[in-house]
Amino acid sequence: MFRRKKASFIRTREDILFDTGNIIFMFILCILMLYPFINQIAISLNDAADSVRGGIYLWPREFTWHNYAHVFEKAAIYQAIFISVLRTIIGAGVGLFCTAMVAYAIAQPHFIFKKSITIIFIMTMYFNGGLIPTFLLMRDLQLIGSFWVYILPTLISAFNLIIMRSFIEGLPNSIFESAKIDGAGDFRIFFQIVLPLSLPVLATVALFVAVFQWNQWFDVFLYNSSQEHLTTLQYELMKILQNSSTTSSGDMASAFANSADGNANMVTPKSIQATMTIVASLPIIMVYPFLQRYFVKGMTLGAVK
Amino acid sequence: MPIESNTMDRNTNSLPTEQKEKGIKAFIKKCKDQQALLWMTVPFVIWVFIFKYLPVWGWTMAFQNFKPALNFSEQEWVGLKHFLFLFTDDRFLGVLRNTLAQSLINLVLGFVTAIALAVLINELTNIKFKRVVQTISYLPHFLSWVVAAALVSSVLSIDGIINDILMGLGFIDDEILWLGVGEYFWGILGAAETWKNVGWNAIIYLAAISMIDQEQYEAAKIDGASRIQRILHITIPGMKSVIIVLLIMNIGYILEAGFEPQYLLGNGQNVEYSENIDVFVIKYGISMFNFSLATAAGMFKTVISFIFLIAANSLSKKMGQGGLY
Amino acid sequence: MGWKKNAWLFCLLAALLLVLAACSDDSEETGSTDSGDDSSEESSNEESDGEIYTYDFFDASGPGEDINTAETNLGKMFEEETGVNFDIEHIVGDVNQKIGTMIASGEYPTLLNAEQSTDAVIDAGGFVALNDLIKEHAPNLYNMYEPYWELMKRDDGNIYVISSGAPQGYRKPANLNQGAWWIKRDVLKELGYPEPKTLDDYFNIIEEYTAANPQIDGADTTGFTALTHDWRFFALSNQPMHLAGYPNDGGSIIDMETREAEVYGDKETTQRWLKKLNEVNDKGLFDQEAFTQNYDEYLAKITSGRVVGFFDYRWQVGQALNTLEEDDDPYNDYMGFPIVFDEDTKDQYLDPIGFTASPGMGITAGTPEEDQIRIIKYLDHIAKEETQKLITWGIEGETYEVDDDGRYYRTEEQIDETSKTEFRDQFGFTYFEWGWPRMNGEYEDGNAVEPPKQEEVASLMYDDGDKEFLESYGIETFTGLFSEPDARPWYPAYDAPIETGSEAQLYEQQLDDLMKRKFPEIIFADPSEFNSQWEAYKGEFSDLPSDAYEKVITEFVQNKAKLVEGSAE
Repeated sequence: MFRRKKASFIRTREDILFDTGNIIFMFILCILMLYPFINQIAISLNDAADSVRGGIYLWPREFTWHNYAHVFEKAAIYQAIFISVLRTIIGAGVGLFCTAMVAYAIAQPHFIFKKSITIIFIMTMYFNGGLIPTFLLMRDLQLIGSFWVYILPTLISAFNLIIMRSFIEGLPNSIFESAKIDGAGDFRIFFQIVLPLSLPVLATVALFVAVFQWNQWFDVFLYNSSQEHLTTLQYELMKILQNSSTTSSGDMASAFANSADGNANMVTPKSIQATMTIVASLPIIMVYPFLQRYFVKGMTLGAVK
Repeated sequence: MPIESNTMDRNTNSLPTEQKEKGIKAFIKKCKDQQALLWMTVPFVIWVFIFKYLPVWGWTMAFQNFKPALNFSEQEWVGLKHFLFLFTDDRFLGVLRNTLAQSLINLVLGFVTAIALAVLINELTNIKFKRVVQTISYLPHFLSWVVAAALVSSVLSIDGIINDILMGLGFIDDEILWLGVGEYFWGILGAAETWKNVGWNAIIYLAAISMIDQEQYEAAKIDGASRIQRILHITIPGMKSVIIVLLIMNIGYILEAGFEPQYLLGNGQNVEYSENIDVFVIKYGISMFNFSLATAAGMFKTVISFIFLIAANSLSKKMGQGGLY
Repeated sequence: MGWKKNAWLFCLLAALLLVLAACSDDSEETGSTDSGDDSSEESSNEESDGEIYTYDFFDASGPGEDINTAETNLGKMFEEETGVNFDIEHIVGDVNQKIGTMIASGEYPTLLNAEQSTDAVIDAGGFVALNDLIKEHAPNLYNMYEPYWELMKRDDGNIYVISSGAPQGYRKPANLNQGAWWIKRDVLKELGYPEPKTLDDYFNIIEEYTAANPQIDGADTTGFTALTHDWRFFALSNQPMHLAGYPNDGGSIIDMETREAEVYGDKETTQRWLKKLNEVNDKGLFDQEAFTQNYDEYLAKITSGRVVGFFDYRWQVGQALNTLEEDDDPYNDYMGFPIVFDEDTKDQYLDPIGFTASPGMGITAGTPEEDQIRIIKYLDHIAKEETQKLITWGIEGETYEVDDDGRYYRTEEQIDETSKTEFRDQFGFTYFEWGWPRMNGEYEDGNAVEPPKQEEVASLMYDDGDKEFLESYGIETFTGLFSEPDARPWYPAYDAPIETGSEAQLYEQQLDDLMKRKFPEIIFADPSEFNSQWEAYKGEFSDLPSDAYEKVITEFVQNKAKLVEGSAE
């Protein structure tokens, strides 16, 4: 509060010019970024057969809820949402904790394996053994058909680890020194000092992991496609989308095209794609605003010392 | 003691103590001293070996005509056949050029725009507006490339909005078939990638900015530093370590230019600029049930990655900026 | 120093790995507690009271809803008669990858349709031989497939998969579902219902109409557009074959006499086709966006009504044409014509009778013999003629009627009902009408196997707009203008299995790349440069291993023709 009052008090011409320009720029940016979503919402609320004509921009032409009804009429979708939420929360929670712990350790300058462990992890960013060896590994570990195949193989991403490490390294060294003098061990320093001070980066990494987990469908495809109780939202949506391309252009659909209501209940890949975009992204988009407050807090705590 | 935020300094600090102690005994003693740190890391090192390093036996596929049905001992070994196929194809140089160009453009544009956006968002004074902008700016990241590419394609079509605007402003006399001219492809791809990911990429810089001590800004203001000066001398340096780390990691990804937008926006008229290694591998590897070729290409990319990574890291260290490891 | 330290670390890790491997049994146990549900699911086969057997069926032939067959009316009936039902799982994502992991791990579902990876599964020994099984336990199935028995055998003499659609007599379809040269009905009406026969006729119509109507609904008229996006490029490169009077045999033309395959990508037919497009482009009739538009944009363009004509296969433009047929304007629809190069060429747009031996469903290795027998009996049940009528027509009095002459028909209400997705799902048409043992053509009593091919059903589907055009051209159905297909026992040649990593396989991909790159240049070139562009393309074409491809196709064609004709005798 104090800062803002003061800042507005001494606003120069340069400040005003800068702020105005900045705000105008942001408005244009928002339009560019928002448009595709509004467009997808409009298409998802438009009659599927009519959408094939194209030309839908901001508003549906023939309004209908049918596309959403089509997506949500399957019972499997609710279990899928549950599993998606579960894997997102558990994946992000467990992943965040493990990443932070390793990051803390390899951020310690005196740690004897600092360099080796860092390199071991960094290397994993640039290779993978391939689809089949990975599949066989999961089979041998008996992870196929289990929920943990979503969590364990992607427990720590080297990318996130390095990001986190460089943030922790950026914390003032004096904090560690004084804590050590007080006799605090590494675990205590990690839990009581580093975690609370790293909220912005924790929020960032949590978001990265959550979005990754939420969007995954390939591991469901490979490992759990026959496990109805472990299906996820993205996978179910993928199914509905692929299904729509056969029903809308298949033999029967065209053969019966002339019949009275033959196509009233039709869905097309385009309309399902749009509906899917909205259904799949809205929940995860909501996560960010909740994490944003940690971006603002960060250093006010750090300043306390 | 002055505040050190630089990895390099800390490393050099710890060197002399290390040299004093030698031998196995000293090593064991150190391990004991750092028990806690070992507990924190060793389980995960084991994890990384199992989940990331063990499947690397699959690289042997690159030297086989791999058939999933056969046991390891039954596979037919073909030496460097798949590498030769890759490197001797007439188009390989062009494909490599496209990969490098596309990923370089992405790298530069991606960094500059994301950093700029983070700085500008940070300069917004209204907290609510700031949050709204932040959230909106990362929306396109959640569009699949199928949707995004369809949008890009329609914007660039003959009666699309880009042609309308340019014609209206009198910059061009005739509509341009943007996706039909190969030379434009890299630019279009760079712009599309930027639009889609700039908000997402900015998140990490926003996090970095929020860890900058606010007192620095107050002090600079009292010294009469202008807005631009504060950005240049406080905000940007405050993000430096993150920028460098990201830069080095991304230089390692020099051959990972992605394949979805190239595949979706590519066509016969721009293929000489759109086809990159990943697209090539999809066409001649995966879609032909040829896992071996895909593996060979993966190995090639890994080797190049390591070379670039090591080079970037040591360059960064030489310049005194610290490195990844 | 640093190296030594690393060495220590690696030793430590190796030791830990050993420990881990030693006690891995424990860790696996903890891992599997979470997957308890699925093991109980599998064992339900055995613990059920000995009446109903459930098997897994993985269907890679296309996406669909995953259900148990007994949840549908048809499936329930079959379960009651055979005591068997199937948990169907459809493919989502890439077939090669999914089947690849199955092969590598050797763990298959009991019943499997592996689509394009069928050969790989057979090579891996993933299917059991069905010859004796069918002969001993499945007389109806044997009856249905007997004419194709030799065709179904692999090199080792064994039959591993049963494909859907065993032709029994030819039935001309009432509606087009194959390739045709489409013209907007508005155009036909305005020009007095002309009937184009040759490529020149066709483009003259387009030229005449476009000159008179440079705009349609305020937007510029597009004379001729084309679908070229991604894997659909064949919708522009297949025409030379059709224009020369051949059905869709893929990348080669099969000589009727010698039965030799010849690629046509570098032949005079292709040159003639491209030359025409080049001319048409010069006149401003060719869509400038033909090579940049994606599939959606192409469909939207056709649906907008701005396009005078285009060539495509009906199943690719289904979405657009269905949308147009649904609206109130009967003239904003398209009608298809069989166009050829020269008037005296007989068109061959309709698919000839053809039996494809693969892909199909097979029982996988490791299935106990009594289960194999139960499954084959289930398939045998489906192969009975009355069951065939159930899965195609449904139940008499409910989904179809029989008139005094024994002809099957559907009332308008029944047509409506049976085209509703919800009904088709619940009844089971969705799951049973294709993919299982099935015949094609007509039943012994003369009724069409597929209702839409029955004139009585098709004619009820036509509205007044349709009738106006049918009358103007003096035809009964929209396939009336098309010639009946000649017998081509090898059809379709594109079904030839092409070995992974072979030159022939490489040729297909390389040719696709070459055409995608060069066709735009040739078509958009100034007419004076056409010849040099064509020669340049032909030069590059000559570097491709087309001989290898021709050899594979020829061998396939001759072998298949011999088997078909041999077993027909």
